[in-house]
Amino acid sequence: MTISRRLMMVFLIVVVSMVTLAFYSVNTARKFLLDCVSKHSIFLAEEMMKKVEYSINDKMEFLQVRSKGYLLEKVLAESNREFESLDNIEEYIAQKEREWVSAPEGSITPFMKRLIDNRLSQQLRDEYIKFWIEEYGRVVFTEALVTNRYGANVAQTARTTDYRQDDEQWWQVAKRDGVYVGGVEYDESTGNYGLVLAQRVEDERHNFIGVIKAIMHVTGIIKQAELAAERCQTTEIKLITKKGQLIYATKSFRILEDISGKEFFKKIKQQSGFFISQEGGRERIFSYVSSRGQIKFRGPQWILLVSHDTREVFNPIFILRSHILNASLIIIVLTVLVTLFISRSITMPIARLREGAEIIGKGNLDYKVGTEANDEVGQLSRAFDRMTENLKKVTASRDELNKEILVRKQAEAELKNTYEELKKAHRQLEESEAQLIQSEKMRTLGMVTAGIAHELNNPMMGMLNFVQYCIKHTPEDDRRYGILKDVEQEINRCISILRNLLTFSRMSREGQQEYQKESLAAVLERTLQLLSFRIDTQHITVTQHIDEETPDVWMKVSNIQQVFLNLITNALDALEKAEKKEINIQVRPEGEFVRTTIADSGCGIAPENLKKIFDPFFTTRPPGQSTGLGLSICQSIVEEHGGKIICESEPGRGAKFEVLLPIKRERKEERYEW
Amino acid sequence: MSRQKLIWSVFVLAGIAVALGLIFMQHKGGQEPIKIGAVLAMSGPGADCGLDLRNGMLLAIEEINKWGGINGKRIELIIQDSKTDPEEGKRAFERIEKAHHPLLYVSVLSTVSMAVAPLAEKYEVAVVGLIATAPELTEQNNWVFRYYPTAKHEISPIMSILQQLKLKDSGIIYLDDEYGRSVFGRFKEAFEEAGGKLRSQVFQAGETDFKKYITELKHCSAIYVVGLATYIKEILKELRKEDYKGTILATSTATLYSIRGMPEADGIYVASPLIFNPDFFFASELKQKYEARYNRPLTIYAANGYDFIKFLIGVLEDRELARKSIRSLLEEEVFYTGVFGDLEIKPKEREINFSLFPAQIVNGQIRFID
Repeated sequence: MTISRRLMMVFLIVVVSMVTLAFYSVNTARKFLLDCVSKHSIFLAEEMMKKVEYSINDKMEFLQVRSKGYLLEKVLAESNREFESLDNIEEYIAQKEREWVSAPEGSITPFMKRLIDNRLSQQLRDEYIKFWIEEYGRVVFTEALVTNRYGANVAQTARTTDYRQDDEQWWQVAKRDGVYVGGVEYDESTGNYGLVLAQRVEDERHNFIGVIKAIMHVTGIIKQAELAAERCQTTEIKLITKKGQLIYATKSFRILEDISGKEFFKKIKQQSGFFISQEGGRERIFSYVSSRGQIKFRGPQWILLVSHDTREVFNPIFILRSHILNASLIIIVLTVLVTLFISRSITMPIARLREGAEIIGKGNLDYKVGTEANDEVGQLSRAFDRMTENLKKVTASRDELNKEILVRKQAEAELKNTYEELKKAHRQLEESEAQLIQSEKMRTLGMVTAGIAHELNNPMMGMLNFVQYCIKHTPEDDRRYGILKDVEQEINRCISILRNLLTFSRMSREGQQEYQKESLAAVLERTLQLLSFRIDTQHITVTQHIDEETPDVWMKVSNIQQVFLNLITNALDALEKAEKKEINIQVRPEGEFVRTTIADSGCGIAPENLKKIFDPFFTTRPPGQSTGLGLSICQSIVEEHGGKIICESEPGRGAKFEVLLPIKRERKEERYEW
Repeated sequence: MSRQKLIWSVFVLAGIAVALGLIFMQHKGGQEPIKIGAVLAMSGPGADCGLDLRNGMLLAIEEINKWGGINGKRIELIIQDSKTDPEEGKRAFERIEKAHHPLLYVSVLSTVSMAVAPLAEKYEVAVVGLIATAPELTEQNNWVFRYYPTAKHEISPIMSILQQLKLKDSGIIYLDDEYGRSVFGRFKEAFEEAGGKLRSQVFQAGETDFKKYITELKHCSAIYVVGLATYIKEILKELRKEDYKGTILATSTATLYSIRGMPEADGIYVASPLIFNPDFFFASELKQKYEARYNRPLTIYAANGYDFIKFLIGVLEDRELARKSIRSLLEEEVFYTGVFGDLEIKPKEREINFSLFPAQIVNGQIRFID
């Protein structure tokens, strides 16, 4: 991986880590914000609920205070007395009820008008309706009425739907318990929804004399509390009963709508808390609190919910996240650019260094990287230049040294060549000397042999004539005839030997012989005849295999015979102490050559000696018994003929000499290359 | 591909994927919007109404859409100009219906709303008349609703003022259209029932010379001016020019800044909505937002448009959004507290009326009368 990629990766890892940390922080902040907003909303809901409860409690106390009024007690006392004077109270009330209900809707009968317009009714309107509007600018009570102890209306702020109230729950509870706080109900007489409050009215001696009922304007209760609360754009406030009936909402709502099936209502479990739920296709944070009641008032059993759209609550987080995202993208782009710049500032000098190294590597030691930078790479470049300068100096010294070494090596080689030439000349000199000695020996031997043979030949011829004469004159059946024949045969053999000796000596004496075509078989035959005595005395079996198609070979006959003589003599020497005494001679044509093989079953030649046997003066025999020139001369003769002599041998398994001689005579430079 | 190149490619691709993912998170697509067709008077004599109403509606829509719309759907307002002409209003309605098939419509002004009402019946789609006072609008049509005071609401505070000032003879100058005639009819009935003596003058749309009408009424203790803003301005100028000494009263239209800012409007009595009460939280909040957004004074028309859209939230939330169900939802009994105060919509009445209160224009400001 290149430096730029490594740098890029490191920078990006750092940036990604920072971004991840930033998003983690944002997420943590979101949790804290949710917790904070929810707790704040719970606190807000609690305060609002307290205001609602306080408002209801306050109005109940208002009812209690108003239940002790002089006019109220007086009117009720009069009404009760009036009813007590009736013969049948129940029938009276029932009849009035029928008249009341049967009256057309919206109409006011004289009986109703008497109840609506009496002094107590006027007081009720003043105290319950007008007072709050005039003093506080809002409707608190929408209706108020007073019944006597028999449940019949005595005074009322407006027409009610019924005349008798003793069958109503609020009346019965207020009579029994003293106080009644109902739920939110639709009041037909006012056409409004309201909270029914009722208070038992007693005289000074605590006798039950009637009930006073007032209907609180529900929206007014909550609105008073709601307006005190700070709101976000999406803040919604709901007031619901514990059964899930909607009493109030800050957005448009259907009063007493059953919302118990809504997801958020099902999540309300405790006295207060918060949760996130869906409403209107949006995610909202709901905080809620249930009414706990005041000291004497157990509360309306309502639940107040404050909810906010999560998008608005978490909007700062979203904005922060968005900013982080945008900043991250910018930082990543900047990081890439800065990384490219930095990596370029690092890699460019390095690339120049590399380029310099390659140029210098090719031998240009004059190249300079040359940088003005003071950083590490700059220092390295300058060190590199110094190194090049030093290298240049060292290289110059090395070149001179190399030149000197080269001269010396050339001198050494020349010396070595001279030595080899001298050595070769020395060997040739030695060989020439040996050949000269051998030649002289052979010429001397030839002269001696020719003299002896010539001197012996004549007597032998005379003896032959005599013996043949004797044979001629001796009958065949004479016992001497056989002897004479043997003598004749032996004389002929002697004559043959003498002729061979004469032939050999003639050849030796002639020295520089001429090449002539001759049969190798014939040469071998003559050689064997020369050695026949020794062959016989050593009891050696000589086998010959002469190929009939073997052609005659151009040769210096006496030299080749000398070769064969030496080889067979050596074989005879090797067989002196051998158990198996055999010499096998083969002659066969082989392409343009004739191969002559002379193998013995003697002791063989040691491997360390095998390579030396053709060396002049090499011998394994005791001093004085051999000059060590035999095989060397053989090799010289054969090579002079353009042939080759090869020896194969293993100790104990005899030796085999092969002489290859070209059939045709050829010039020396055209000799066959082996 | 070498191992290093593969790792590098994966690294780069992962980075691109993360970046694209984060960008995609920021721009998540929404669902099919809730379309509201709007036949507005963007030109002609009623242009002031249409422009302000459009601004108010768009402000509310921006606020709702900002937090995800209703039921996860954005609200889209499709506006066509009626040019304050009933016939053009019908053509505008047809254009919207053909191209967009919206969930419901709003139309502006009584004349235009009355004209498009038959189309609402024909296409069985709810049309809500805004800035439309004619009582006949909702009385004669099953698919037409109203969110505005009627003539009854207009004259109630005027009657209150006249009673407080103990004025028994009054004149009225009104525009001869559904709006003017409906206000005149109600006012005549109420004023004469209260024992007053009423003289009236009617003018036609497009008239510019009101001297003759004022000459006829200049002996009345009070003159009640009824008409579009353009005519009210001219009539007020003429009244001041004629040096009318009596009490001048006007409809809620006179609460527009273009009228109440005139020197000629100083001291006149008007029927005013609660939005001009600086102590009313909702109104003061809207005033601040609206003026900051459009750099124009808040008007009853703008508030009407704004509040109607806000009213829709609770009505439509978590409900089936189809044309038939919209009519049922608007016919339900609903409570709502908006910039015009507490509203209680009675079931089946198809009327969403907010109250008007007696007020006086003093130095260009609305002062409510106790």
